[in-house]
Amino acid sequence: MDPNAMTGVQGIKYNLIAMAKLFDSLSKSCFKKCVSRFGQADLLVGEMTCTDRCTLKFMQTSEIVSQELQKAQQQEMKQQQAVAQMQNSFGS
Amino acid sequence: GILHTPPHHRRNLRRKEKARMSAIQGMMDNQALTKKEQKEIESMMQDMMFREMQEVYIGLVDRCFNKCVNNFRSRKVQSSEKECIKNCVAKSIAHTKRVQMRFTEQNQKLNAQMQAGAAGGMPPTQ
Repeated sequence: MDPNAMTGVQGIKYNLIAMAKLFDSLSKSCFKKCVSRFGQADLLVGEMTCTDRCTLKFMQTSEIVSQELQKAQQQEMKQQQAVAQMQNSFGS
Repeated sequence: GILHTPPHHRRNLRRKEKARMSAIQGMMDNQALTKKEQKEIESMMQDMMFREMQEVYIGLVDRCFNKCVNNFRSRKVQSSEKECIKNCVAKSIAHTKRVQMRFTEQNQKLNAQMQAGAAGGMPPTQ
């Protein structure tokens, strides 16, 4: 299996799983942060607003984390390449 | 949005692969595996690594969101929250690196002990 191929059925499968897990995490986090009163069955207006904003912020957060992870991994790649080049030029 | 591909599994494969190879090499050295079995193990390891990269990403979003985003007076992430998230990601990565380092060390130690034991009698007690 080519590690560079996140395509086809496998790729879609991983994407769907990721989406499902993110949704689960989002749902748990926002409930915890926004909903704390159980005197009635309906959501309070404040809880609804909080949940809307929480969802938006969570999705923005997932973008930021994705970018930062990508940056860190690119850094890692550069370092590894630099080390490899040094080793090559010294013939070790 | 959320519908994008989880990041860049392939690039971190190499470093994690090293950490694991030392653990698994120990397991594999003592067995005669056929080419076919080796291929199976390779492909299984790659699959595990994809899954782990995904878990890392999702875990980071979960952890850093919970630690850093706690007020919802606005629908936009504030710059202080964004700083927090960036630091959270960086620290998490550094932490994992350190854990991997110590984990690999320990595994190598244990493997060496086991092989010394196999070669001639009881392994040295610590």
